[in-house]
Amino acid sequence: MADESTRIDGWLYATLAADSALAALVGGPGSPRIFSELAPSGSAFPLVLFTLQSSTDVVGATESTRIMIDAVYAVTAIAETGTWVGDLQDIADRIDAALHSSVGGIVDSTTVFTSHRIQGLRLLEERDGRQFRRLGGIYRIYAR
Amino acid sequence: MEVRTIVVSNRFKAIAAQLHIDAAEVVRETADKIAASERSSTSQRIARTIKVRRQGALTSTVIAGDKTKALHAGFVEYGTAHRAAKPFATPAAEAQRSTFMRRMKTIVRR
Repeated sequence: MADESTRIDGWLYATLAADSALAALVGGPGSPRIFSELAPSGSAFPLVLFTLQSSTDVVGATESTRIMIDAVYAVTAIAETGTWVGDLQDIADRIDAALHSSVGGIVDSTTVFTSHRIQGLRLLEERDGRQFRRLGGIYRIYAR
Repeated sequence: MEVRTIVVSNRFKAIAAQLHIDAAEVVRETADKIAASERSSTSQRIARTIKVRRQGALTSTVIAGDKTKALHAGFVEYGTAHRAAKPFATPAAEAQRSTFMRRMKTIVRR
């Protein structure tokens, strides 16, 4: 498989969207606001964003055999809010419930083995006097 | 019948001391490599702020950005609500991960 990351993107979207409580918090089950890399311009908040931070091949002793890939993703809730609690916290909790220690699945011949959180993530952005808060975690995902 | 084992000398102390020295070298070198990799893969403004903080022999922290310059390093690494991420720190650290683990195992098994 030349590029597992796009398949992992698909697994992440499907896994997060399948959490009905999470979907309800970000626009409803019909069209949850869950995006990869960047939300479309004009998207409403809150939303969930996942971004690939790094992807490393796990290789065999000869390095010609690719055993699996070790991908690190930032998965966060983003809201225009003045507080870390409330919906932002609820969404971050649902993200973690869906992804931490998750067993994975198969997307388009790529098998996602496991997903687990390796650290939390919290960022505050101020733009034109408006505050956007980002809360979630960094997840390590093994896939082949 | 009684069996007695009498230790007249051991090298455990010397082995432990050498282990500490070797591990410290691996930690220091790895941190330097991560910092160099980060500098080469991000903007000059952020690169100028990247430094390695040694916290004892076995802990080093690579820091990007500071309170007066390049405040936005975290936003570049993880993205914002309005800008896509351009990770530079995570790939640099992850690239050293397997080499670091292998070197540490070699030291312990020696």
